[in-house]
Formats: sequence, structure tokens, C-alpha cells
Amino acid sequence: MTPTLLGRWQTRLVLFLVIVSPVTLVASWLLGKSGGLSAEPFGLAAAMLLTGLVFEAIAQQLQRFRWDQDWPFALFVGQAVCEFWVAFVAIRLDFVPGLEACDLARIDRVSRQIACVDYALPIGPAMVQAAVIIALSLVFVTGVAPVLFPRWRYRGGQFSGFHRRD
Amino acid sequence: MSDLTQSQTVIEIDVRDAEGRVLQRYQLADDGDYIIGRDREIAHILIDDKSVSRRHAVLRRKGDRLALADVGSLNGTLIAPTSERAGARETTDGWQDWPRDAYATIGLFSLYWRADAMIAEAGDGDDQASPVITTLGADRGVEATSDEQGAEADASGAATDLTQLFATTELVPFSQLLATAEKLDIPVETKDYLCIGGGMGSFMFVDHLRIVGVSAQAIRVIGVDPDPVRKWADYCQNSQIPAHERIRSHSASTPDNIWGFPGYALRETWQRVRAGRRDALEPVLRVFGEPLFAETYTPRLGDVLASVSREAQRIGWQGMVRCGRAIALRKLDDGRYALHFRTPLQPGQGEETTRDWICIARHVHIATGYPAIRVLTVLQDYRRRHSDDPSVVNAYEPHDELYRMLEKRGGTVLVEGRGIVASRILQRLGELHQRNPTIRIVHLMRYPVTSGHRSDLARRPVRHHVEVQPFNWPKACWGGALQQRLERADSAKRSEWMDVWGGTTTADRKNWRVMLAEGTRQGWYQPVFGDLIKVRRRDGQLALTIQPPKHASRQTISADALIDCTGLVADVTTSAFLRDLIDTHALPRNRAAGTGPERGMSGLRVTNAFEVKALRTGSGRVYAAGIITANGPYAAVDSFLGLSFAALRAIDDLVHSRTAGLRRFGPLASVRQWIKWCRGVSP
Repeated sequence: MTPTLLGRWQTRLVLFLVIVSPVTLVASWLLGKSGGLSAEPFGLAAAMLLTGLVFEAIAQQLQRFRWDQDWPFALFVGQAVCEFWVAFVAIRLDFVPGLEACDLARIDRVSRQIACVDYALPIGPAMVQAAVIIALSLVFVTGVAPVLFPRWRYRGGQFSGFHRRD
Repeated sequence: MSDLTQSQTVIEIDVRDAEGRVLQRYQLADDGDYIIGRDREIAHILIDDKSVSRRHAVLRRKGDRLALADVGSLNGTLIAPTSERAGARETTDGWQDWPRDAYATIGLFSLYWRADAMIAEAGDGDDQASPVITTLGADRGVEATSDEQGAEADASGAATDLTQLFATTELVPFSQLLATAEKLDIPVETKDYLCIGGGMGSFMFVDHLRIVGVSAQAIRVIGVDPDPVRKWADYCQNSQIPAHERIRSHSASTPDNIWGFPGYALRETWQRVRAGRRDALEPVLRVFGEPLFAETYTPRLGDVLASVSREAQRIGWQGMVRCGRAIALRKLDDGRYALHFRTPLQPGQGEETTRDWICIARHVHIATGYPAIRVLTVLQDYRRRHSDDPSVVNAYEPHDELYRMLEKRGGTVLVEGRGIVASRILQRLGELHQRNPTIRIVHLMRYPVTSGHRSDLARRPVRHHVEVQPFNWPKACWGGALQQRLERADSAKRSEWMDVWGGTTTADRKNWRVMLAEGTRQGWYQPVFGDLIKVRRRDGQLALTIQPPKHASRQTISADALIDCTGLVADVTTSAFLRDLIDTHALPRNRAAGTGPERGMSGLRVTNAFEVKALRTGSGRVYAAGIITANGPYAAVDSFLGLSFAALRAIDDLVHSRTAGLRRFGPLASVRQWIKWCRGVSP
């Protein structure tokens, strides 16, 4: 891939909609007690999105050191793994201000049963959730996006605003 | 025909080069056999070029009829058939009937009956030298040469009218065109889309058109060969890439599939899975790890060729393509375009059969590709003096004979150039060295390279004095930050950047590195720097004079063979058709920087959507693609992915302009078409 910064962010948001959200819902349902939803997977997904948006900017700068100005799939996955660990540690150490409140407020509306304020975030399920997200994201960018959006690969991952008419 | 030729019943034959220029004209005064070849001693019709065998073919004149027989030439002789009746030609005893309006292919040259030649010349402009005319009499001796006679002869006749019509005004009145065509009995066909070129550029545009919903009946393609991949495949094969070898192209650069998915790596993995191979995952893992943890995946030539043939069949290419040469394109007064083109004759229809055609279309796509093989001046001079020498070749020409000779006798080979083709030739020679250790390679490069170009925060690596990158441009030129920068820059910045990003580079392949390192250590590979300024033959060997850089004193190297790998000519004015187009419509061209031979003469200026804006008329649009748009808003124009991009961009532009009645190709249509591709059914 040869993304632009805008392409990275746009793709990231699309991935959040089509991959991260459904996977998180499923994870939340699986982890939820007595038919309810669990809050932890949503916390992780949100933290990974925020970390990711920052990481994309850093990665874009690193990409300039590469002659081809590309971002190989291996780096795509490596970057995602790093994001996961940063997000995970940040949540564990309570470094993400406002995350719990805003996240839980949203989930409260979805399912009244959840009132979990204490963020436990067990490592096992978190890793499984992140691994599934990363794997499906890779499938999306290599196979699904090019078929759904034939122009996407020519636009540095952008869905709009890449070309200029003359 | 003129009175002169009629009274003497002279048949005139024109020898034309690959670009349609008349090099020589022969007047056959008597019945009998005439030898075509490049041996001055025996050939009556002399074609002084390596692509022609010494005794190539025999031309027989009997009354008003001509026939040809191949006499064991290396490259064959062909009376070109038309697309519809390909293969319908009858031959007896090796003689092929040569009707008046067909042309014969001799190596890289074509032979025409004189009458057939008039129109092309008119488009060639003033700067074309008049051909040398040779009259062959009963004794086959040269009777006379003249420059003027022939020129007088075509002052009358049908073709001139069309030429005049096309020459006098920029907007050709449609009614007048129809009247002229009717008078001259030239068929006129009308299509929505007309694609000139017939190679990969045309193919990929047509593939996109078909997929976004244009029917095959609405498209006409004019190409030299019915097979879209022929010209490119010939270049590959001549530059020593057999079908099982890999080309410098990306897995997702799929000319047969507009989505790039599944890429060639995934398809190769699937092939291996079906064959039960243990290394089945290697291609896809390589794509995953490249270029950091694995060498960049590149597809096999054979797989690419087969996939294009499959797709050509799926979209009905055969029904759209017509074999012929584009002569001239003009704007009509009704907002459309008219193309005058000429096809070889359908055999057996007699002298009346029409060979000139007009195609009228509202949307035109031009992708004629590289106009010619570049032969260095110094080598041209040598070839003129030693036409029979098979040991001096250009890498893009057929030259398998040379390798057979080297394997048998050994010797020193000078390889000139440092691009991807040079690498592949070096590999071939390295393999030969394994079988015959007396083979030595002298690798001539213009100057040493120790550190690569810089761009942004990166520097391009160098291996054995050649800068390396996986493809011929940095990857981000195809659809990333570099492409975006280029699209938004002015022409000065564009040429400055492209000079840095492009240039002569090769791929960083481990087997090449290992081979060159081993050759250097064992002394059978030696790099030399400088310009080749003289090639002579001395004591049965080539004496090569080299001027090293920085005014060092000249040196002379003895070698047994020379392979020139310096490339193809991208200068658009080398093509008679494009030159006529540029001159008639005053088309602006792109600036080119750099120090290479293409300096100052570059591609047609196109918009970011590949439209040749200077040709716009009414609702009509002309788009261009491929190398003829070099140094414009897109760097990687001469690549499959670049051609695919250009096609999609042009079609989106057509949708936007609302002139073509095309609907935007959205996600739903895309998925539907992708499924059709997977099932192999017509779009």
C-alpha cells in the first residue's frame, strides 16, 4: 500500500465501521453475562481507534524514509499490533481520560444491564478481539476494498479528495 | 498510376519501415523472380537490416500479379491478412498470392504495392526524405534512380482527394467527408468509441469500457496485430524473458482484472494448492513480507500472457479489433472525429477491394506505445557497413542466434546499458557462462554510480553501479503521495521530480547480485565506464572504442559480440500518425528534463484525466495513454497498473462530462462485474 495521511485516516474510519464495530459487538455479546453486553471490548475498540489515528500520523512520517513511500502489509500488521499494546496498556493504567465515561454512557443506552465502571479488560479476550480485527482488516484492504471501490488503491487509500481536476 | 508506369507496365513496390516511412521504391519492369534479402550480392530488393535474412524471400511477377515465397528466412514472410479472414489465405508450393492491396512483412519492414503507398506519405509531412527509386529490368540490373518520378505519379487518383480533404481544413465537414468517401468507394463506419493502437493501452481502456457497460458493437479498435499483447510479448521474449521467467511487475498489477484482485500471487498460490505443492503459500507470503522480509513478488510472463488472452476472449476483443494502420485523425464539424486507416486486403477479392477506411467516433482513445526500438547512432553506422553481422544486436530485437553462437564458440560480449533489460541479458549470459566458461562479459555503463538519488527523506540503493527499485518508479507513483504531488505540480516540477524518481534502474534480485559478485571475483564479469563512440571490425573481432567519463583517454576493447540494452524510443514524433496529429492540431507536449536521449522531446500534454484537451471538439473527447503521455501528470504511464489507472480516470472523466451517457461505476456495479469476471462470463 502507498497511503497518504488522509487515506490512512479515511481507511481507518471505514475499517472501524465495517470491521471493528461488528467484531466488537460480537466480542461484547460473547463476553457479556446473562445475555447482556460487556463494555470492555468497546473500550478497547475506542482506545485502538484513538491510538490508531495518532499512529497513522507517525507512520506517515516514517514512510517518507522509504524510497518507495510505501507501507508494506507487514508494517500494516506490525503497526496494528503496536497500537493494540499501547491502547491496552493505556486502558490498564487508566491513561485514557474520559474514555470510560463516554463509552459507558453509550453502552448504557444499548443495554441497561451494564453498569460496569471498573475497567478490568482481561488480556486473553482482548488479544483475541484485536487479532480478529487485524486479520479481517488485512483481508479488507487486500481483497474487499479493491473490489468494492476500484479507485481506492489509486488514491492512497482515500475515498475522496485525492485527485484534482485541471 | 502514371502514364509512364502504365505504358511500361511497371509494378512499383515500396519498402517501408516499422513506422510506415518509405525507404526504397523498386520498379519491377519485367516478369520473373526477384530475390528479397539483405545480401548485396544476391538480393534484387535489398533491405539492409538485421531483421531480414540474407536471402529472405522471392518475389515473382507474372503479368499483373505478384506472389511471394519465403526461402527459409529466420523471421518469416507474411502477406498480412485481415482480422476477419485470418488464416483463410491459400498457398500452393510455398507461394503466397500477393494481391495489390495487401502488404508483405519482411522482418521489421513491410512491402507495399505502390498504389497503396500514397496516403501514408501525405501524412508524413515535409521532412520525410523522398525514397530512392530503383528500377529492376530483365537483367535485374539497376536501370535508373530518381527522386521525382514517383512523386509525380501519385498526383492523381482517389487517395489524393482524401488527403486534400484532410489537409486543407482543421474541421472537416461531415457531408464533404461522406461525399468524398462515396466517390472513392471508401467504407465509413460509425462507432461510439474508437481506440487507436491495439496494444495493451487500448486493451485496458476497452476492458474498462466493457466492464462499465459499453457494448462490444460500440467499440472499434485499430491495431497492427489482432493480439493485444503481441508487441509487448515480443519485447519480453527478445529481451530474454521466457514464459516461465518473472517480469518486473507487481502481483496486483493485473491487466486482465481491473480490480487487482485476485492478484497473480494469490492465483499462483491457488495453482500450487491444486498441484499439491508444499510451497503453495510462498507467493502470498512473499506479497505480505515484501520488500522488507522477502524479495518483491513478481508474476511469471506466461501467467500474465495467458490471463490477458482469457480476458480478451471474455470481452469479445476479436470482434472489436481490426488490423490496420492509423493514418490521420481529424475533427469533424459535428463534434466527432474521423480516422482514416488502412487495412491489409482480404485475399482473393481482386484488385477492387477497398483498403482505405474511415471510422467516425465521438470518443477516441490513443495508445500507440513505443514508436521504435532505439538503435544508437554508432551502431546504426556499423550496421550500415556490416549488414550481415549477427554479433551486433539490440536487446529488443530477435537475437537468439547470438546466444547459440556464444555457447558454441565462447568469447567476449559487451553489454551496453544498465536497465532491467541489461540485467536480464546479463543473467542469460551468466547462465551461458556456466555451460561455456570461456564466455566473458564486459558491461559498459556511461558512468559509475556509487550513491543513489535522494527524494524526500529517502535514498535509492545502488548495487553494482546500478540504482535499484522494485519497479521502474517508486511505488507511490502509482497511487500514493508521489502521484498526488505530481498531479498538483507544474510542468517544471514534474520533469524535475520524474528525473529523480525514474531514470535507468533495475530490480534488486538476489540471483543477479550473486551472479555479478561471483563473476567479478572470478574475472568473467567486468564493468567498464564510458560512451561507445566507435565500432569497427578488425581481425575477425569487434574493436570497440570507448570514451571514459571526465575526459580520460580513450580505450579500445576487443569483443566478439555486442548487445545494446539502451531501450526503446519514446519520442512521439517518430510515429508518422502522431507527428501528423501534432502538426495538424498544434498539440502541446510535455517538457522532459534529464540527460538521456529523450531530453526535450516528450509525450503529448494531457489533463490529469488523460484528455488531450487540444483535440476537444463539441461533445467529442480524445484521451491518450501509455508512453505517448510521458512526463505528464502521471509518472508510471508505461506500466500495466498505470494503463489501468489511465483507463479508469478517462472513463470517470467521460462520466463527469456527461457526453457519453455513461453511468458512474459504483460499488454495486463493481461487485457485480467482479463476480462476472470470476465466473468468466461476458460483462
